[in-house]
Amino acid sequence: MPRMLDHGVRPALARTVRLRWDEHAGAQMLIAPERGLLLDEVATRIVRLCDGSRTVGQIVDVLCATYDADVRAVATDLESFLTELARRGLVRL
Amino acid sequence: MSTPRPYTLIAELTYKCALHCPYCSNPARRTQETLPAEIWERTLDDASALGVVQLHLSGGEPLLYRDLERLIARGHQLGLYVNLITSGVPLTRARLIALHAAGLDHIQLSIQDATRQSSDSIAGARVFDRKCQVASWVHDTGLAFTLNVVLHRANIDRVPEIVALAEQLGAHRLELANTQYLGVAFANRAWLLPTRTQIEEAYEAAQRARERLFGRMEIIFVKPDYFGSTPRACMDGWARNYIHVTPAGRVLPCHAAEAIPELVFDSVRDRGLAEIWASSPALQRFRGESWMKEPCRSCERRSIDFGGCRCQAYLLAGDPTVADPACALSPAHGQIESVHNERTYVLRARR
Repeated sequence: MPRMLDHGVRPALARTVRLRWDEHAGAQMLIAPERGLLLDEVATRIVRLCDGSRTVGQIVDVLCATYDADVRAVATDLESFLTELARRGLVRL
Repeated sequence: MSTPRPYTLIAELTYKCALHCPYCSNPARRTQETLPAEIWERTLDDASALGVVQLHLSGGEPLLYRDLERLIARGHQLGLYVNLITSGVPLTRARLIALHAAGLDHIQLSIQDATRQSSDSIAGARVFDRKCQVASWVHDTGLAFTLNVVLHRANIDRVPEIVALAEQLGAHRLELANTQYLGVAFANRAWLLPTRTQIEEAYEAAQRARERLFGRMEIIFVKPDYFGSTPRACMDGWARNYIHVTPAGRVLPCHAAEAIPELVFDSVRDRGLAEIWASSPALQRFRGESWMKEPCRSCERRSIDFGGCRCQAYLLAGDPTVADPACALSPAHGQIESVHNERTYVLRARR
């Protein structure tokens, strides 16, 4: 479901979710009831920034500073990533 | 084929339970046997080594298994996501705190309907108030909390009320699971099956609630497969992502597989889980695609739904090697169509 994400929202991992190292895949994995999601390095960084203290706008700023990327491209990618995580119940918005 | 990595272990600790739900997923004939904690611990270790990340402690009522705390602690120590699937009925506040302290991540609490009268009638016991009390304790502990409601004819019209109850109880997730017609539910299906209109309205109500609660409460709606033209991907394929271990220690691909008479399942009492997972003939029997006949063998959906449910194929078509009759391509699809026309409201085989 396409929707605009308010940049003032402070995303946080859902109560039901934990981040753990997955030995078999050699990657971080988000585990939640009845599902798991393997994360690459950037996704892991984003998930760690979703601690309920930062707004989406602030996360965009951190990512831009870290990866030297275009603000609009980062914002668009972040919005779709967070919306997808929220749809799967992994992130609270 | 190579042995797949399993992600989930469903550990049925005991078949004992205080409730009498007419759609119970346990087999109609239940052993009183349980495994000693040492064997369960070894099985959890083996499951983790195979790649399992999810541990569902289930039953029956897993709270009636004496060494539950020990198994939660072992699962936690292994880094597993430990989920307790419970009726909540035998729980006390003190025990819940102890379970949480032992490393429980998540609790899935069942409730039978949104109202006391209907809920207690479905459960066959006066437990609704108790369950609401347990839910408030769960909320207080901060444990991750899913409320589970099995849907059927008698409660499916109350999805909006069930959603309101889940919000009131503070659930993080609500699972609205239509009855799967296997085991006891198969015997009672004439009494349990909703109409197509009921299913569609319930689905719409769940969709509206999902939209309203987006990002706050997750709502899962598990559709029944008696109303579609393609089968569900039962267990994501036979012996692929899920390992199911019964109270007697037998290793199954799902809770219902012992209904298929030709299959003999190995027990963790006799052999290690890793060896069973890799080489048990019963697990190999329908793993992958080589067992498939037409119309599955050449079907483009065979890697999506894996031919559907083997138990349902056996129950409805009398042969576990044919396409799931939930599929419109199955010659036995008429079995599913005809059940919609049954007008028998007699409750059978209720324990």
